[in-house]
Amino acid sequence: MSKTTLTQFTPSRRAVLAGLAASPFALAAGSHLAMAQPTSGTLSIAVFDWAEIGVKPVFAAYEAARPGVKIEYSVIPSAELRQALLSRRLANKLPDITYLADIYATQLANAEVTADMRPFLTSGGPIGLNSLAKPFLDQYLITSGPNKDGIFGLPIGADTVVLYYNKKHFDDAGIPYPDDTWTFEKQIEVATQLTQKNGSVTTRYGLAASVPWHATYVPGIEAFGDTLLDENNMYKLQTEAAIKVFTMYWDQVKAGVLASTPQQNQLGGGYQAFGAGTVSMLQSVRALTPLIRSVTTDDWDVAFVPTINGVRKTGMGSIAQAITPPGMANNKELAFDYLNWFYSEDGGMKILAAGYGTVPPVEALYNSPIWTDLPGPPYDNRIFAEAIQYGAMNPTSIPADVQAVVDAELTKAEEAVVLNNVPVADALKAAETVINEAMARVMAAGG
Amino acid sequence: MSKTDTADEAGMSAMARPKPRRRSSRTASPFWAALFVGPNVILFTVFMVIPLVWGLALSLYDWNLIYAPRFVGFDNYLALMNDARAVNSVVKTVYLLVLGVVPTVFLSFLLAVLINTSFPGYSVFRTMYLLPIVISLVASAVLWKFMYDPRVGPIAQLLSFFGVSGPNWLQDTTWAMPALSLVIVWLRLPLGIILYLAALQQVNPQLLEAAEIDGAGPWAKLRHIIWPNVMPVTLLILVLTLRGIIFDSFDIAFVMTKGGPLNSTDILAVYIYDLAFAQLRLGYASALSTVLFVIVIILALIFNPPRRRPTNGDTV
Repeated sequence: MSKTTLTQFTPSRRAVLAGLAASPFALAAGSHLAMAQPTSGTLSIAVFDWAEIGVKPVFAAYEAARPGVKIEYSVIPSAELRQALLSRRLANKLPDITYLADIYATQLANAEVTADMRPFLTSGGPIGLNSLAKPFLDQYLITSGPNKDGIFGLPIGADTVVLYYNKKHFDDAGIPYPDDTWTFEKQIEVATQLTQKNGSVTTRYGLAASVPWHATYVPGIEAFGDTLLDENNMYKLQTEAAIKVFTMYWDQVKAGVLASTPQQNQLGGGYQAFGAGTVSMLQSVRALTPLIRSVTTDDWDVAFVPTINGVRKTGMGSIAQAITPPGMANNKELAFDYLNWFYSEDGGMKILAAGYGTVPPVEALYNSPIWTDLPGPPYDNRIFAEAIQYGAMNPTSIPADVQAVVDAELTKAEEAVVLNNVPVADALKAAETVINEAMARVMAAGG
Repeated sequence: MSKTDTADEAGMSAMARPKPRRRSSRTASPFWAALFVGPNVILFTVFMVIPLVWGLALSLYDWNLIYAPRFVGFDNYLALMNDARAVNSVVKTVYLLVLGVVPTVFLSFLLAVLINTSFPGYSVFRTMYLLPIVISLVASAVLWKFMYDPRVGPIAQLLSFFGVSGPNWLQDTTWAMPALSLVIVWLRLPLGIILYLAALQQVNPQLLEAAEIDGAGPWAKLRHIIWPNVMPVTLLILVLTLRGIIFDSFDIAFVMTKGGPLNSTDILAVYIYDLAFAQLRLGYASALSTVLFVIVIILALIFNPPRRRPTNGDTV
């Protein structure tokens, strides 16, 4: 894999500037340049483990742009981010800036781990309240409770689920590559052809998609015209839509064609399995592209996740960064400067995009050559941006504590169906009961 | 006879028994005692006593690291009784103990007896058996996860050589726990072997010789001489293994199965972690930890009841 950095990206520089000229970044660049730049200090930033490979060049560029300023970053496994940040808050040792995922926004805001970013967005920097794409910014807009109307995260990427596919596997099998007309049924037909087995053991899965992941089942439920939650914010997993969606995926897990979470874990993780050629197609997001590029030797590309029930819906979400509240961050001014630089014309967002790690969450940059003209793979970059219009998001009203229960219970339901042949409706009913008990308990305790 | 013996013994002891050494003022000083014991007491208090008391107190509260802790009395303990997953975790922990403790004790003993003899290359065997003790738990778990891989794992390869298609060990509700217990036994063997080796050195060779003269074979010597002589160490290993399996199995279970499939390896330590750090129910997790602590204390007392320390060579 070649690590593309800003300096290596110079062939497209003219095109980059053309793209940025239309961006909100450029509009505010003047005011940004007028700000005093810090000349010393240390900025602490907590990042997701899988994001490290993408952000290291960003940090290096910031240090180069601010001689005397040093970034100390800590890497936190994504599954442990919440408890790590909460513990560090109790110890009064929060980093100045932290990464976070959309599902944690409300909880981290209530826990005073993250600060309201509205003061930053109205400070006259490169981005304002209307700069970032609404669907992604809204994930960090708190809609109830003490922090209502606050924005507790600045999206870093517009992440949609797309279909990564191994071109060599398709070529070897003489199967045409996935295209925009693919349906779920067609995908499973091809996945079955690409699956290889040794006796009853699958040695190569045609498709890898984590079924208990909301980005897999929420779009499916919406494609069947239903919603995940009822009007009281309770899960409804007994609906016809929910049963249909989980059935169509779990049938393929049982057949050994689809690698869900446990099978992917056994293969070392989804992107590693794709990289090693033990899965032919992988449903994943742009944020993992740098990792996928780093481990995959066969040629590959991306396509839309196929339609379900004739409707195109795709899982969507984002990660974000946020400043920690005043009084905890040691370097609030430095943190503001970093974020101003990050969203400026030649800042971190551009480096991140040029490193394959993100689709800028700015509508004007959805088709920017900053990232669409990057050499492949992936070649068909338009997919990432075009998929946004079909985005189906996990409801932001789900408390993070409940999400943990949801993930565990749906995994258990999957195991019950796959290993013990429990009917899907029964497995979902059992999961729904536990999930809604957790929901009631957490809501009663304040959300 | 007894009178003469006693007199002789008294006379001999008067001559032979060394005069008890007078304690120097330096060793008798409380200052020196405190100096040597103090650091240990401080560390023990900071890392054991305070967390223990803190955990006990926390079990009476409802706390999620965000809002202020709310006192709920014994509600957490009462809720445990209706928690099917907690009951399942207790059952799975007991199952793991059964699968882990008995093989650990007996295999440690047998292997210690075997490598206690001298044969060409015995030092190599000793090193091999003691190797797991220097491998971290997580590294061991990752290693064994590969061993159990149904596609490329050595176990599957070996079975396929004989035309046997093995199960997907870690994704099978029947086999997942035995698979975990095998790793745990493998990890705990070295300590047992070391302790048994030390105990075997203490067995009086004259007893073994006497038994041989009386016609005892290897099995009879093992059963009637060696095994009873190492019984105190067996009890120690039993307690250490119990404690080790209950508390140290978390790393193995979490890395290899995360409590699955279908909660078939959902031991208490995994459930407590899930409650505390995934669901952020710190009070409830503390209540379950307290119950676990009490269970361990009871088991330790059963298998290794407190005894008064022998004084002057006499048991009391």
